[in-house]
Amino acid sequence: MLKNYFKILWRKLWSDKVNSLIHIGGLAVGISAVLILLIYVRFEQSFDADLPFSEQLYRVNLTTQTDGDIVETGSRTSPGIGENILKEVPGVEALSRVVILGEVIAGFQDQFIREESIFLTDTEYFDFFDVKMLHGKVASMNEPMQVMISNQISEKIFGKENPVGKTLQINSTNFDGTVDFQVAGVFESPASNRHLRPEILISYATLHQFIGKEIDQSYDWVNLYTYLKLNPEASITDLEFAANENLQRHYGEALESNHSKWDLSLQSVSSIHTSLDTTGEYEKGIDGKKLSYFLWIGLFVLLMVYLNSINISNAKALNRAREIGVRKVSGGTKKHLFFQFTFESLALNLIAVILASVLIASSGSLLNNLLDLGLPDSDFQLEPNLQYLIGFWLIGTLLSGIYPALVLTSFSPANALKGTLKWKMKSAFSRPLLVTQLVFCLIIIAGVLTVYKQLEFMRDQQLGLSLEDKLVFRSPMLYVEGSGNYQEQLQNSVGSLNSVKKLAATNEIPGTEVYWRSDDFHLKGKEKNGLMYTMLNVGEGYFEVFGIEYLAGKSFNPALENGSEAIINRKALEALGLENPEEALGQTLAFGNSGVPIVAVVENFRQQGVNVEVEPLVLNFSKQDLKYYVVDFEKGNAEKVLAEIEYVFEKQYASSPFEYYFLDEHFDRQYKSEQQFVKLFGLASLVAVLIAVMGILGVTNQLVIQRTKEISIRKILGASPSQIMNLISGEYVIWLAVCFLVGVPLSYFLLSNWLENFQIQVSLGWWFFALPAVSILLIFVLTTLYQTLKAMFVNPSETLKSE
Amino acid sequence: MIQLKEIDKFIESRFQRIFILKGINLTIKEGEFLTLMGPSGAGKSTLLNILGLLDEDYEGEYFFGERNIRKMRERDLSNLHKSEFGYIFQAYHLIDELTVYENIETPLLYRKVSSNERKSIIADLLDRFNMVAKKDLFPAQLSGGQQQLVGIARAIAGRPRVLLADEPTGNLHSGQAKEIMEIFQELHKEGTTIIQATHARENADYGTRLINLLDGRIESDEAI
Repeated sequence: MLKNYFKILWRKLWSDKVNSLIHIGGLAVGISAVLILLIYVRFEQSFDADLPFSEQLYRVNLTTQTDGDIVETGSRTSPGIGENILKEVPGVEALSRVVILGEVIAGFQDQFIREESIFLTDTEYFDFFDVKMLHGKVASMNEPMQVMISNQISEKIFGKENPVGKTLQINSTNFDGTVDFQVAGVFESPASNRHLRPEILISYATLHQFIGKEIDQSYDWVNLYTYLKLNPEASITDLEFAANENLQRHYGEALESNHSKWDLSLQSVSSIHTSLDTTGEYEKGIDGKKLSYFLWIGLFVLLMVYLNSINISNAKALNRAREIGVRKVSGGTKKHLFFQFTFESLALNLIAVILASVLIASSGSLLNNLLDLGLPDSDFQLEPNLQYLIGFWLIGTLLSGIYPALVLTSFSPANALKGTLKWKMKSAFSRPLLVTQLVFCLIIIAGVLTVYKQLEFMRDQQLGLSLEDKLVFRSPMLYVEGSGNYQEQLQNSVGSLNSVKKLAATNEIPGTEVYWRSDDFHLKGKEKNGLMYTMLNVGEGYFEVFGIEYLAGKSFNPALENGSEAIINRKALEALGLENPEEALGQTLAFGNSGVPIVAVVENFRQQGVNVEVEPLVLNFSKQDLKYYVVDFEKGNAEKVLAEIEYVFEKQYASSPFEYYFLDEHFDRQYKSEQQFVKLFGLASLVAVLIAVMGILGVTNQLVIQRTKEISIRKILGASPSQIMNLISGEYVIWLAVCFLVGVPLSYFLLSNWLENFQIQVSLGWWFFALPAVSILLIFVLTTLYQTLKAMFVNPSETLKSE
Repeated sequence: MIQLKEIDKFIESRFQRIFILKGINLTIKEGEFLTLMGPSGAGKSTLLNILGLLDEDYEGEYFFGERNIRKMRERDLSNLHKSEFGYIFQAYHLIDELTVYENIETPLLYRKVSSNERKSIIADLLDRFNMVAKKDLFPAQLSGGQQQLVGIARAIAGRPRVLLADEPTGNLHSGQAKEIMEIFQELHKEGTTIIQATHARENADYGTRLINLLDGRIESDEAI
């Protein structure tokens, strides 16, 4: 019997190849698209969620407040906070502190690499974050000057040898040069779903060697991450309360005198990646809300896919009334027939699901790269997605198979065979289905348009500095090649090239957060007010290279010593309590025990993307070695400039790698998550539109076929082609009108909601209302054009003959 | 074998009942070859559907042997239907996606006949109708007469005692029609009860009894 069902299904699919392809292909493509969204969401939500103590792990965040205004919630805290909480607050089982070291050059003998993922931490970190040791013992991290490296780093520097006990040289600005460490162990490179993914770990005790043991009690060195492992029974609210009490006891007085208030809060480690609420993160997380948008889009696409599938299944089933009649007459019972239809639906959906899984497994990593999703390739294999696939299979069967099965099997055989069967449900069902699809389509088109416009709008914002035609290259290895005067050397070599308009050194380039923060700045003779300032060391020509506007004063005097003058931005001017830029000139900006004169005030410029607020900034002049060099060059000269600089650099600093990028590209990387959103959204909408087109095609085709007889009779009675067109398209106009009436307000609501996430928002102008509507109209007209024409020029003698 | 008592079939319209069949009393003995005749709308097909258990929406009594059809349970009815009746249609009603062989096989599958037995039954039938060479063709590749032969083979595959045929030759030209009627005659000789509805008077001559219907009533009932 099953063989018989299978044959019928197979031959039906083959005999109607185009429709089968639309049906199964639509299902497969739709399921694949939704699967990618699901895989993406699953990955983003899996961050630190699979750690052994994931539920017990919390990070201490610090909210700083000045005179009642919340300044910001930072992820970084000072060592004393954790130290005293562990000692004095009950319910805390263990403490781990992590210090970001910043980019280093590490290596041994002649094998050197640049590495950013390097941290100082203690032995607890290995327990908290489930770091797997391959060689060596975790306990050795209690000693100073010990380093653990990942297997990847180990291979790059030491090859296949076991490096334990060997020396690793690390070159960093924080060490003022190169320092020798002993390799204490090798660990497995962390999974890609960790919010910190260290490749090199230096023992925390090293910090004591460099700064002294008293650092552990420091409260004003707000520079590390504090992780706590809590007792499983501990109440978070109680613990937060106790932690703040503890903070007040140890540091309350000092805060009071600074007019600032600190508030500690606990954030579960597994939520760090999906939150954007904190500053000072090592890696910018993603917006957790965005993930739910993806789920919604996925649901949209899935709904459209299944609506289509239901439509096609129903239309096909209707054509089988006769077969059902014959089967009933030949002795088939309702049960037999129900089983047959369910079986067909199961088989059909299974084929679609298998196709989808093949599609994902074969082209998943390609899409991953194309959309820049950063997912591990193993996520596209069959096994981790099996549950979803089975889900799609069963849901698809249930939705598209059960209904026709129920309706069709209830026909009386005498009626079914007579062919007089009019399935009223059919037309009552397919029209709302089609309008729903059109509405979804409209919303998705409006969505893509808005997301795109918003991104463009953000890019076009006045940044206050120019990013175009700028090449950035990294400083030669510090303190190695006769360092101390790279700036001068490079101004003489690279700076004198004809193709280079201007060269400037800086410690951080636009597009990257400046981590050096302090609330210590104030005007001499005035009190500190607790506001945070960022500090940046820049070399000669910095303002000229970026075209930053002076509000008052002029650039640093290069003849003076390092750090003997300061330049502030407008935001800092306001933070200092001044209004007029001129006022600031000549005033002394105090910091700790020293003070330097302010020589200029510059207009605010955006160090980071438009979604990050401009912070008060103090710029210091430095003639010494800084991390980056920025080259301003003539438009269209990029390749020539690059080649020339590379040649000069490599001749001058043979042992340092030449690494470069173009500034605008680097700056755009901040919008990665928005771009990812656009790309994923784009993919989903492409699929959705495709499926909608198929749906429109299917339904209108069915309707035209149903009305062929009517149209033929009208033609015989004298209707002209244009009258026939009016007849057919009259109904279409109503559908489209309903689609616009429902779709436009709905998409307005959804998208203005989405825009709320941005600091600056593009306004939803005429394009928002007109373009999606026009697109839908075009899609609709083009899709139905062929059928309408066919109906208009139908030959009545041929169509009526078959009646 | 079959006994109908006071069978009424009607449609309720707003003001009155429109009778399709009215007061039909009919007894059919085993082995009869009965022909129903009458103009369009006389109720031939309706009566045939009622006789074949395809239509349950009527009033009156229907006895099949000793059993009262109206009082039988769904399952017994379904079994009776499978074991006793075979159907032949004017428009053949073959399943387009199945080959000749598979079409004949369909009722056997529903009767849970074993694979070997199915093979031998179908082989016999193909042989009998000279269609062995055509067994792997699809209905669309056959002429009308050949399709109807498959229809008959399918109808008798389950060895029913009663064969119901609604205008079996209606779509065929006279040569083919003659062939079909001769097969009916042969089946009749083998003991099958046949009930056919037809417009063509010459078809009635192959049978043993002729009933004329008019406006839902039996107009005449004569032996041939």
